[in-house]
Amino acid sequence: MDESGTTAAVQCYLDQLAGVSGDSPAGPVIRELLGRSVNRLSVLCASMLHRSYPRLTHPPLNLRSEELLSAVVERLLKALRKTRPQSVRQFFAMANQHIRWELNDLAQRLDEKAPVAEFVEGLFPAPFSSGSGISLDGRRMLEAIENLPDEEREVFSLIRIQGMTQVEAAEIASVSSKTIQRRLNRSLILLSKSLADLRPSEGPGEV
Amino acid sequence: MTNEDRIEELLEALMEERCTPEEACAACPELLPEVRKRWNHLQCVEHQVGLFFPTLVRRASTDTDPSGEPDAKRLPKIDGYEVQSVLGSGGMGVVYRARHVKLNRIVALKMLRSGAYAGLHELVRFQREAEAVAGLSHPNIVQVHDVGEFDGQPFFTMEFVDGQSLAEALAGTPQPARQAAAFVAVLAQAVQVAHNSGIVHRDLKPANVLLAPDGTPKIADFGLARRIEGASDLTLTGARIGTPSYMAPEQAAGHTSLIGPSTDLYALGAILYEMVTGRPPFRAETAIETERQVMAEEPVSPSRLNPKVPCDLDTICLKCLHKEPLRRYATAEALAGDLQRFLRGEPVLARRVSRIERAGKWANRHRALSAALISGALLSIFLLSAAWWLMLDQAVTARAVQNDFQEIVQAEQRSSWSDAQMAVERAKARLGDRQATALRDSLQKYGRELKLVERLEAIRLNRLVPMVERDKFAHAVTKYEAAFRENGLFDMRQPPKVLAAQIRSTNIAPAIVVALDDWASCVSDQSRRDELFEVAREVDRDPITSQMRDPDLWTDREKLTTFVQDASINDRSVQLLIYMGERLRSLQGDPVPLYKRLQHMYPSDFFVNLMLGIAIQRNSNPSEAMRFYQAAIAIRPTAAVPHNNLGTAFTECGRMEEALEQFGIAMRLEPESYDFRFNYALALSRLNRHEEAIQELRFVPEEAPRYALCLALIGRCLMAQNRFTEANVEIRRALVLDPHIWEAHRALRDSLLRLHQLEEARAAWQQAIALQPPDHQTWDGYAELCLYLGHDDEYRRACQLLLSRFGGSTDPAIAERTGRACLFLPVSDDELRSAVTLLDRALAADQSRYGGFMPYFRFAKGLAEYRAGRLDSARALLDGDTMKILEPAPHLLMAMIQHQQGQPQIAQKSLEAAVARFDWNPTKANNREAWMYHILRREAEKMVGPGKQLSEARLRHIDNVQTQRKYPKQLTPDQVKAAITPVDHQFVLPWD
Repeated sequence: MDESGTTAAVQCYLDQLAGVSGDSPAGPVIRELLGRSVNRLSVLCASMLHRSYPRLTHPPLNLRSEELLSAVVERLLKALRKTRPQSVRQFFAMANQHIRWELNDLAQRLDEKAPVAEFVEGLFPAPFSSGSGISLDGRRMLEAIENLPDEEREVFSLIRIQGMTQVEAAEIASVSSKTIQRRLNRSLILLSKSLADLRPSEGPGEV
Repeated sequence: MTNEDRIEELLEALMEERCTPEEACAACPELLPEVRKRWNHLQCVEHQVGLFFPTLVRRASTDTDPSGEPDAKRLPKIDGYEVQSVLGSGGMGVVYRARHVKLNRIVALKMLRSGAYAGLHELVRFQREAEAVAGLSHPNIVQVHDVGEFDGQPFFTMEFVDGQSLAEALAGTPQPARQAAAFVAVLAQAVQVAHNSGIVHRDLKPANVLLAPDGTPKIADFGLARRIEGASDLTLTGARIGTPSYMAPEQAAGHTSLIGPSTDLYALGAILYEMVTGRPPFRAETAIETERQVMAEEPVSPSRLNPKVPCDLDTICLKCLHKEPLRRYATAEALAGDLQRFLRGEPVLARRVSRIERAGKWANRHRALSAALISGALLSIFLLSAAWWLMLDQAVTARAVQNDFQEIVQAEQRSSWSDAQMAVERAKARLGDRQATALRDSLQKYGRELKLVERLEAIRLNRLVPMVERDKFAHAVTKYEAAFRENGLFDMRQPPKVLAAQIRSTNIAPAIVVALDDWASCVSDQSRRDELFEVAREVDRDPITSQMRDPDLWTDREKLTTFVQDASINDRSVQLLIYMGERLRSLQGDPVPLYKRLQHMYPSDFFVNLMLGIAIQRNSNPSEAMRFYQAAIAIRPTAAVPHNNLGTAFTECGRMEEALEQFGIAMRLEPESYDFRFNYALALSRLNRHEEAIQELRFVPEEAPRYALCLALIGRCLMAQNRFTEANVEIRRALVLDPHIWEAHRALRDSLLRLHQLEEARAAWQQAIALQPPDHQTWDGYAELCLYLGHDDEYRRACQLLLSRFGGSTDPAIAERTGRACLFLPVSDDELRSAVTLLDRALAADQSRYGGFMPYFRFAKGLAEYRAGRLDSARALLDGDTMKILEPAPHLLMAMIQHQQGQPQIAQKSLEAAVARFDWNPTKANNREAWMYHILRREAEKMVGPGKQLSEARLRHIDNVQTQRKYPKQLTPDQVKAAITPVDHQFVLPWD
């Protein structure tokens, strides 16, 4: 998936959208515009499923991310179609917000599923009740992101959720890429503070 | 700025400049442990963020963002290389892009983050191994060019690969089976070349496979990664770096002896698995759980995750991932061969697992289906299978528990008590409510024994709290006796051989030997020590350590010093040597060289670092001691003692805020240990937060061992708030509970002095001194008070005590005080000589440090010269600066000198001037200087005649002149005096 031209592409779509007069059906344009965010959302859904709920992907549930996606994506599309963003920045602010909500919703539904799966799949009831540290589930991460200050949340979302480069994010937020870097760093420090009880489930990879 | 702000600033700097925490904290080493902890945590969170929100353009920050460029001046300057930029940094070090100047070749230079604590041993081993790896030459192995050392940090240079890693390229997407097979076949051939040279990678994983721009895979960090990781683990908070997902079971279980070529074969299988399925064979929410799966569970067949994976590839992959190294391919070449056969469409050599095994695995994964799935037609089958499943389930449990037991035994053989404890807990959880009495009983036995290990270790640890020096040995002995008795292990009426047999029959004999040795090193009774050592010898039966338990060694300092100088240090002897160091110290020897040697060889041993810190701190070098306390904290962050000791070191350096923080951590870690709370309260009172200190101390229950001391400190805090009567009550309560606390006597003395009950104060002071307090401050002034109160005999006795105790002091200030105190009455020749020696020592002190004290030292020397009858020399010492300090003392001395030199009128005038310079109101005579003035005045008046008190007006005039001459107007003379006296009044309120 080519992510490099996101900003330009989105601006182009928005321009097209602005050219659409009155109430004439803007569906196809918007759908195309949203396609990019949807792609990203599907990547994120898949990684959420595999990282946070690996058990659900094993037999017998064999849950696949595609099965989860359709409903989530449908709702994202609906939400974004209703509110027409005026600028690229606004568009991404909204898209990010919805993606976070959708992920959170997905996580919640998976959590409800998880105990059942544990019963089916688990060999022994929770063999590691203590001492193994708290692993991070998606919902806590999302909650922590939601609680970031506006600027840090915007930058974090553009880069980590939309997968943009710092230069693209700088363009959208109209600040220097140095500022983006600083806000991104700051957001990580704040996240690590609010997730202070998190112990490494997997350490950082090597260079 | 608060510490929190500073820490965040440092973290931001770390992220921006890509330096190490050590570099970032160069200016504030005290923050290093916290910054390191937070940095590790931050990296961990960043990693998690990366898992949830993968970035596809990973190199964006370095490629496109100018701010991503590292600070040029931070790049190391290494001979022969031009270091150009940072390529990345991670757990094990920083990778730079560099140019080999002579060859004009771009290389990647990996600087290892060895940290200050990596042992020389480790580095030498690393170097040797790197040289071997440099000998490898293969198109699919990243070529290592050079090994070196920069600033004590090892580095190596290697081929620069301008591309991403396999981990980045895969990003969780399954690859076509044939492509994956061909790829792994190439890797396997490269691995075979390394194995032929006797080099095992030990940490193969997608992140270590780099892809050149043309797609050629290149294996990086051959043979080096694991080694280095092991070394850098020491400096981390115990969090393991890297993922266990690709670790072979023998690695996860820590069987280092089993690690060999087949470990790499497992990893190749894991890479193949991830390439075809998009995920590694095992990955759980926590590293420990992943490790457990690696060790205990069968991987799901790749074809179940990706139906496109052909059966043969499935078989090849699972053969690599076999739990038993011998059941994997014999060589990497064999794996490559089978992969090629698969690619050519020929039958592969690997056999599928047997039918029974397969059935087992199938059953494993389908143990209980959701009841909703069961339709009527399936019900009977289900019921049948359910019984079978149940049986199987128990069999699996039994096997798992058996594995746990094996692990317990293995962990205990390694003396890894915490690992054993974990395995016990795990086995307990597995057994659940199942009926397995025998198993449960032996589990309980293991559990009890491990509890005892924990308890014994706690006794050993708590012995090291500096606060409890006075009776720490006796305390530990009592606790050891109780611990052994309650476990039915140590009945001293039994002969040693019986006891030893009893101890050997447990599974924790090594831990008990350590405790016995420690116990023996604590007892003061020699015959008891010999008994304990004899038992330890019987259990241990090791020739080297037995020699160390020779009773003669433990009583003779010279013998002990020589012994430890060339004692061989190894795993068996290290603990005993620690005790010997302690013993050496109690025999007035210096254990630091021994501890340094131990620390050099065991840089990651908690006790070695802690003991070295303590020994160095006792040698009055608190700032150096901090380094080792911090190392101890890094090794075992949850131990309270090193935090407490670090706090005392900060206290000695006068850094009370930081000390308070450390005591606070220690207190939170061990809320029941009131020593830490006491220190915390003490630090609060030193920060003038007396009310808070009192509140903390009120938490201490009456039955706490040092309750009396706490009451005394409460008294101190009350005194600091001028609540003397209340203070007096608390202190007297303390003394009723324990009359042996010199601190309390001293506090009583201070409160009585403030209430101007000098005789009572003197009595309290006498008691304090009788308890032989260690510090000079408690002694200082007692002699003067005795003389002031007219107890001449007690004064002389006090002088003799002072000289015998502090006559050898090398501290110029103590030398001066001690010498001076002995000169207020005519003295014997011997005493005069001792005093002069002390004062000469003071006068020889370093001018840059003690320059301001010199007039004081000269006054004291002048007094000595006067007592020796050398009047000219005495007079010469009373120069301009000296006459301005301790007014009126130098003037009084001058008057006596002048009188002796036959100048009575001048002497009379000097005396009058001297008398005019001080407020002689006896109610204000509550400190050492005032008593000295009174004493000297009496002597001078006896000789010269009574000095007239000048009129009030004249007095004021002199004050004004002095004030205008030297000091800003607004200061009162008292404040001025306080400001110019470089040594504080001795009655400082904070506790020492």
